[in-house]
Amino acid sequence: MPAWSRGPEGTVPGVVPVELLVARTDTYAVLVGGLLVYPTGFDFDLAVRRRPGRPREYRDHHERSWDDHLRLEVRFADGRAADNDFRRWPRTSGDQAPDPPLLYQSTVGDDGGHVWLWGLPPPGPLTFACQWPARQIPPSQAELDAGLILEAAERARTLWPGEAPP
Amino acid sequence: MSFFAMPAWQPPSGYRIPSWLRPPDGMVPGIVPVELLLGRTDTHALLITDLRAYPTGVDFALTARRHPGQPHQRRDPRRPHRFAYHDLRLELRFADGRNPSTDSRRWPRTFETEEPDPPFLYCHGAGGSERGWRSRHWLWGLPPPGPLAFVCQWPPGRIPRLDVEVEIDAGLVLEAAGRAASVWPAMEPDEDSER
Repeated sequence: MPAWSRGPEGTVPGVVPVELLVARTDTYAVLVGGLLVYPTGFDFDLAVRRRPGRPREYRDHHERSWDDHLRLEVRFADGRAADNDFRRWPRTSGDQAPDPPLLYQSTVGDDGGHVWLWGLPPPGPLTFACQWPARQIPPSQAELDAGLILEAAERARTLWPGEAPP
Repeated sequence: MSFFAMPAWQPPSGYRIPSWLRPPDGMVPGIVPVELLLGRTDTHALLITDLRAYPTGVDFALTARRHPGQPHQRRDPRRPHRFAYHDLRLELRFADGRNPSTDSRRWPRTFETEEPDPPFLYCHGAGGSERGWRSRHWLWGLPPPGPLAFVCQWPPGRIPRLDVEVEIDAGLVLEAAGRAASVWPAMEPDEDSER
């Protein structure tokens, strides 16, 4: 797999000790956490929590369009942004790295998913924004100091020193 | 009804995963600010990451990574139907001598229906590929102050042989649990006992 599509497997990531509450309605909450930072980007979990006691909404996945899913956008302080709409991904060959940032959500489900963001943010606020009209989650956002990401990237270390990163 | 006829749709059974088998849904956890390299050989490395603390316990991930230069060997050559990582065994050692483990032979028989005495270490998800293995664990019950050791081993005879232990200060876990907050502050305490 190309280096831009996931974190380097030969590296111990740096942990960002933050869990962000990005959206909350009376029934749902959206959290970003598990931020693991590498020199080339960062992984995180996108978690959708349903308030205990509230009924589940059952839908046939085959009948759902992309607009029925949770939309996520990550915005850098310099104006660049990436989102989880795979229809807007750049078309590149495997060897040609796209311009960062690129957001790749590797798992998608009613409970959220796992996300890889290729590229580190510049210093300043890093914004996580989401909305899910089908679940009545309005446009919502939370900010994180990108310095925490950059400091965690500095703590990342090579698992097998002396070897070129994969 | 014909053998091939689909049964009528039934509403969900209402089964609720008990609170001792999973983190609470209604809480934002406190993050434990550590990244742990448990052990490393020429071919594999074991990490503990994603430590998230709640008032009732700790959720974390155990990750096995394969050296990028190693040939793909995801299965135990002696038992090719099993992932080689399947037999990784994890134990936590508390300062007071208690030592919850993923060894299910040590679990009470009724752990799925009756609340066990904490601490109780439960694996609530695992998966992998030829690149490695990742399992998520829920520790029901917080450790006491003092050293908290993570001990991991492959049974003798597995390749590679690994028997590793790393300690952290349990105070980091307890402080993080103190930072956990309710997602819905008005929620009744017993609301989160269902799913």
